[in-house]
Amino acid sequence: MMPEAEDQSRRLPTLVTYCQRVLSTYTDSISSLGDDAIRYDVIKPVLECCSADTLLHLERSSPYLENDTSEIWQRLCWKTFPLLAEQYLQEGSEAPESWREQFFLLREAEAKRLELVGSRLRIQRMEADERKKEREVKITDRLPPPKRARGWGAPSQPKTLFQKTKNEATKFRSSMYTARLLPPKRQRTLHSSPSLKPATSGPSEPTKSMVTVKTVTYKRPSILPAPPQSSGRPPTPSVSVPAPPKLAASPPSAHSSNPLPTVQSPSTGEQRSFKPPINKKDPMASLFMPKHRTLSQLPGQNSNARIMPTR
Amino acid sequence: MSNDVQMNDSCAEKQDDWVKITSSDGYSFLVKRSVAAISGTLKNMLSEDSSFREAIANTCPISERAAVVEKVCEYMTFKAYYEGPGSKEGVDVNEFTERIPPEVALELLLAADYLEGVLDSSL
Repeated sequence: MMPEAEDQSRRLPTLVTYCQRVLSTYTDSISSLGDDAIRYDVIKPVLECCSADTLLHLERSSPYLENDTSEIWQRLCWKTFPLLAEQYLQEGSEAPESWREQFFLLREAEAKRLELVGSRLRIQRMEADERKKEREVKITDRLPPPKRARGWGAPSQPKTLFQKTKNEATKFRSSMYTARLLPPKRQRTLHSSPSLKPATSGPSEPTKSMVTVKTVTYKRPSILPAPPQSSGRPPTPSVSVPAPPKLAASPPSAHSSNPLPTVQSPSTGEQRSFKPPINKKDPMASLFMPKHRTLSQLPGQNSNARIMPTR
Repeated sequence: MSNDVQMNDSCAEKQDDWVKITSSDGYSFLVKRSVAAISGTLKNMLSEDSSFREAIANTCPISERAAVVEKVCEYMTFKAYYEGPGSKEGVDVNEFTERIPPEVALELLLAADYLEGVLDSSL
């Protein structure tokens, strides 16, 4: 009755249309289409929006639907399994008897393929995880097997008492000498002992850290060579052990050619009183004695050995 | 008052009267005749030209439950309003969709189909 143009703007969607829209939105909730047969035309838009499982379910409850749903199944096949449908198309061109069956066949094939790929991925991931776990830090209360990086011939129990003492002495010595080296370099001369090997020295003197050392440059040619050479020594120094002041004075008197001591004798004498001065009988003492310059300059001698530990 | 429904002159004064639509579970709904005429089926049933019993009694039973019948009436009213001369603006699609609860949608679909005839191209 009304002109078409007007109708367009004013036509309301039909109640059927409205219902179809609502039903299409809630297809999952549709359990059955009822006892009465519905015209296919009416229910078709709803069925097209159904999932495959819902469709199957509805068909089971209302078998009359099956007559008309093959096109829906076909569309479902193509939509859900695009790859396989492509394959199918390339292989043959016959339409299957039942698209519904085709759909479920395709679905199974897809599931198998996924399972295969999935298991492959899973295995790979597990392997990667295992590798990772081997590398990560683990908490344990056991010691790992000791490494034998060097000293293949080393004793299995390096920490014998002797070795321990030796190591301790080495460490201590090195720390001590390090401390003394850092202040003025003049003290280089101090560190050389005539003939004592540094390794064997475990002196207790180091505890006297209060000792201030001054480099004394005066010559004692007779004393230096070796402690055992007691013969070369002027008698006075040994006599002057109990009387330190005399010590300083004696060399100048004995060897007038020697340069006068440049240092105050009492002070040095006092210092030396703490350590048994040039007493050859106590080789440990001469650790602290300022060595003769010439000897201290000797290359590759004890001096170097002394200085080296300062790493 | 002014309806697009054209009826016989003899029935002209009945255009505004009410008709009763009953549901299967005993509910009755009163709507204007013009509204009921939205549905072609109802229109025919209620037409005085026919000798349907319904026409004489101005009652139209619908074998659906009340919830469904109510929605039918609602839609008819809705449509009558929007296709009347009163409103010019367009109708939002969702306007009536929201008013259909999913529970009755299926039954309503069937009923609408039955009452169809004209629900899609009335007037």
